[in-house]
Amino acid sequence: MKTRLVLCLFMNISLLHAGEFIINSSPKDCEVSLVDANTGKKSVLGKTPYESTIEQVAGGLENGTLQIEVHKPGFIPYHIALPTTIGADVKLFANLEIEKDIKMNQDFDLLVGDLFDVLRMVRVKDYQNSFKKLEKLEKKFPHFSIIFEMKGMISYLKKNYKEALNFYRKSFGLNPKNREAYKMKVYLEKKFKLVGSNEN
Amino acid sequence: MLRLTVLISFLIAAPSFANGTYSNVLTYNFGMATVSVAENESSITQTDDSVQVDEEESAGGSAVSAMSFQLTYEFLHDGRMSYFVKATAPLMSGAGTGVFAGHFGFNKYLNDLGSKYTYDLNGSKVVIVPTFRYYWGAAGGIGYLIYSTESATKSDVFFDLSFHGGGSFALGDNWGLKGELAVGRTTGVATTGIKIEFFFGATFFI
Repeated sequence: MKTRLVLCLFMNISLLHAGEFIINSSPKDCEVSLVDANTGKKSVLGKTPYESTIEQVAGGLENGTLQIEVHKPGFIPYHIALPTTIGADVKLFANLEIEKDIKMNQDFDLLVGDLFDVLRMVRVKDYQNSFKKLEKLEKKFPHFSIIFEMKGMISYLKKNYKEALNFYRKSFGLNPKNREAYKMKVYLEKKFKLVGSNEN
Repeated sequence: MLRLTVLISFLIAAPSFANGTYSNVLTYNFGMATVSVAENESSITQTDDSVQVDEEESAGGSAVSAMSFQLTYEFLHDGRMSYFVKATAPLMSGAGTGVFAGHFGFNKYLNDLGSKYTYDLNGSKVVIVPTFRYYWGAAGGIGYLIYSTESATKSDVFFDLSFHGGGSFALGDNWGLKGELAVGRTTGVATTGIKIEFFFGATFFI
């Protein structure tokens, strides 16, 4: 009997306990919304870092799940369904990913900026560092023919014609519309009658 | 109540590695372990009528009560059930008596979530920490009992089966307080007994 009483007491305390509901995000200041599972209608709860209780947020919900959206312009919205577990603290960290077109713009910006840096270095004949920079860019953008074209240019200026021809061939292979790479490839093949080690 | 593992679902499912786990639990407990010991009567009977036995030694009784330490490790948690191993050793007792024991058993949780749940996906993370947890369970194990009779201090090896119930209250993301009561039956080589234990301590999600 006593054990039952103690258990009942604990369970009542449990039901009275308001579970914490904390949402953080990267980036900060994201909008937190509660999504109605039936209608899809969103009601804004606040901004991150957001702190409330499960009971407060879930008030009136019948299906036992919370559908939360964390959103910020420029980022892909983050959705999650959480149980409205009584007597539990819920901590959510939403790592929002940048929208694809914005990320692409950022990547292109980086590429163009770095290629200008390479050109500056080539002008002052700093071939070693310019080549290193191109190799870094090659890892991030392995399918951009301009990188191999510029590697070919550096090799040509260093009078490594065989190596230059290989890079131009690689560049032309990646992008057959790259006219400069094609011109240089044909020029080197005819002028020096070279045969590259890597046919691309 | 719906199972937590079913409920946790991402509406946007990214085609990448995701991982949801229940934490294992380590508990340090202090409390009282009491075993009422009844010595088994000898099953050997007198067959030699030429020998006179003046006195028959009756089976003795004793009780061992010792402040004890208990270390429990819960593993293979699925949110509602877990398995555990635990070790018990006496800290303070009268006349060097006490109970050493090792057990293996299970806990069945009565609330929605029996352990801390963590879900990772692409750098996003959900952590659910149950504030109150209640459970019952059963365990079996072996032990070594040191007890005193009127005339001597004796020891015995026993096997025991016990049932237990308890609860814990989380005080932080990774730890909380825990209380547990266990009742069991011990069957030894020379003794049988009833074991009652109650322990309080700190529990950690690891």
